[in-house]
Amino acid sequence: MAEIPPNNRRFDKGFFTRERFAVAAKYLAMPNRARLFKYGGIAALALALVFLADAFIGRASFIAGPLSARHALFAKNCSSCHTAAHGAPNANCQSCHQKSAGERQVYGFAKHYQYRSADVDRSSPHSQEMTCGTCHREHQGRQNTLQNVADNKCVGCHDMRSFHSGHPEFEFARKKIPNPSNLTFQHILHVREVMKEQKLSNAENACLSCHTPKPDGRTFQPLSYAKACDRCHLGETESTPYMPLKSGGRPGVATLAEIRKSASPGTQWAEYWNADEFSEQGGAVKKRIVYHADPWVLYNLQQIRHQLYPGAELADLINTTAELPPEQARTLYEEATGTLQKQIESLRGNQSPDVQNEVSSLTQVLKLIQQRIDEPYAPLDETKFAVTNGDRSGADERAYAPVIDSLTKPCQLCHTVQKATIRRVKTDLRTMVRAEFDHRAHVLHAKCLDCHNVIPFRQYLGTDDKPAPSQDNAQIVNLPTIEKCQSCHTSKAAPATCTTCHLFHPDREHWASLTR
Amino acid sequence: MTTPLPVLVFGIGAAISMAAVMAYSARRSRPQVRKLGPARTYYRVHVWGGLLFLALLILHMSFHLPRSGFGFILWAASIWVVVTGTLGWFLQWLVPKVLTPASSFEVNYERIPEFVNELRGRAEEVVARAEPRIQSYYSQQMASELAAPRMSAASLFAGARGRSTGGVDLLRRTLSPGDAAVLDSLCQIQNSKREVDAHYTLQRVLRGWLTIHLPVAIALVGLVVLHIFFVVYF
Repeated sequence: MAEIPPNNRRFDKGFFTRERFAVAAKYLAMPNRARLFKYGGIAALALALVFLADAFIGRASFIAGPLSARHALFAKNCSSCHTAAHGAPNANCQSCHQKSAGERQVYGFAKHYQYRSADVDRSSPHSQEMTCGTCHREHQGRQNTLQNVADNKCVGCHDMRSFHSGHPEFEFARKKIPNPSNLTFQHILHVREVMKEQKLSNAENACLSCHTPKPDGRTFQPLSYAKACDRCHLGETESTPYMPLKSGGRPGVATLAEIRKSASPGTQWAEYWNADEFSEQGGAVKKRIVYHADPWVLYNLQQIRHQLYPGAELADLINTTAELPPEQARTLYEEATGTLQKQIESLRGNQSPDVQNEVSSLTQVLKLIQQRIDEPYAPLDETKFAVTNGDRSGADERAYAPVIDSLTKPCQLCHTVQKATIRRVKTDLRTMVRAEFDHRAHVLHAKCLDCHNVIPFRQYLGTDDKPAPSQDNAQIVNLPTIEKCQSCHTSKAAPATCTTCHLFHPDREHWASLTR
Repeated sequence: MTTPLPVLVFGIGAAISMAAVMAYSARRSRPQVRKLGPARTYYRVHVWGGLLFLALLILHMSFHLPRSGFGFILWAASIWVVVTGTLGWFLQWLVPKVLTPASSFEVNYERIPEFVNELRGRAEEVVARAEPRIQSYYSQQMASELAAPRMSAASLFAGARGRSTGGVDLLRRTLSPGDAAVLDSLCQIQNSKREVDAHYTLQRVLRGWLTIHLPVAIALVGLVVLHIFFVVYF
């Protein structure tokens, strides 16, 4: 201990003694609040400078979490997504995503707004539209997938709490919507025949005889006549009855020779068609062999439609696409909309009430076609196109009815005929258009008939009994209700998040579902 | 605004509770202004507001850890301030409880050096008259302990109790009754010094705790302001 000479001693703040220890300097170094404030302030200032520099000069790697892998390159430039004092507005997202929306614009914003709503007017944002980032949370790490939207983002707007609490019943079950396939068909009869023919003991194998899974196993390929029906139906024994030949104003059909002679568009097939398939007898003709989509039958139906409904050319264009896959049909639809659009524009300047009525009518048709483009799988009544403006020729529909009936007699075993039109069979129909179902994920847990049991297969397959038409017809939607799904998809079993089924961004194979 | 509403609400709530917590510091800096109300009220707001801040912070972060460097520093500073604050609150409860029963006298913190010096002087006076074995024992075992105040971890919870007197008992058996009385007076001085050490330890911890709490708390306020700026700007 060092003694301080008495004359040099002074009392510092906090010292009440003349003693000095070696530790004295530290001993009474009491926390000085002002000094502590200063240290904290300096630390805050230093950190603030570092982070501000990081934000405005550097790469902003410290101020927010890492971007998802898809956006990682934007980490070098905050203004790619952020606008000062406006967060990350949709326009900034749109600047890239609209360009990379794909050839069908499925990732475009219009399709996103319209997503599976079946509402063609929903192609622009709502006035109170949320920003993309509200649901698609960024800065959550490289592994974060933006499309996996958390349930709480969905239920914030949708009036439900979870898949088990408040989720509405499937629309087809809630509204009791029949299957609009336009087909006349009995499942049990066909399964029974297939099992017998192929010596199958398992009904599920009979299902797969017609329902062919797509390569990814998620869904099934559209049914086609060639794959599913041809081996049994329309053999060479099927023929039409005798029908009167068309003569003057008398309802009837055209012979092959007359079709060849007319050389009208779309009749090239007649040049090489075998004339031996026809029998003529006393002013009447029959076709002894009828094929699927038989061109002679379809040509004569078209001629009758033109007689009965002169404004049905557009309907024929629409119906022509019935056998085409949606991608090819789209081209034809676009041709139709282009033609109509030109016609509407040319008429728009004319203020005549009749012309304006025509414009209004054409606009309606245009909207319907546009809907068809956007929703290629949605139910659509082709007859809407056949009867435009009540544009009838004055010909008597009842006079043509026997001809139409005879002409389509072999067809009516499976098809329905309305207004001289064989209604399109919707083989690629999807019932649950707002959700994705993956069969592949379910086949190990259940058999086909465990879920598809509205039609009572198990009750009738082991017997020769015939089910009542109300039990087995093509209008029955043979799908389970939501209760069946909820029995497995619980919080403790199979996943039950919103995005388990409601995918906004399915893979390329399922892009078409976005446009419904 | 991409921030979900609940997250935003919890964040604003946490910022408000932080502002309320800071009011205590402002009140302390103006002790003479009586119309501001009793400091005790501010202290309660400080303690409970700090805990509320932590709860709102956890909700604000949706029970996730931060992913960014800035977020992590902000989070770590928040946790540090709340934990050290809780420690301070605990010490203010603990220290009086330990000091009161463990000490036979009260010592003014600022006068501890003087007191220690006095004890040391008294001990050296006693030793000067003692026999060589006691002098040897004092120089080897006691002198360093009596030299200056010492921090003692045991004092935090036990005060001056339970401290072993080492080999004193063995030495006492070999001494004459007169020399034993000298040794006992030395031990009494040593015990007094240990009580002073207990005071020193407890009072120093009680006062020094603020060093680890306040600077970080001030830095946290600055970082929160920066955080709000980033949220509004970006």
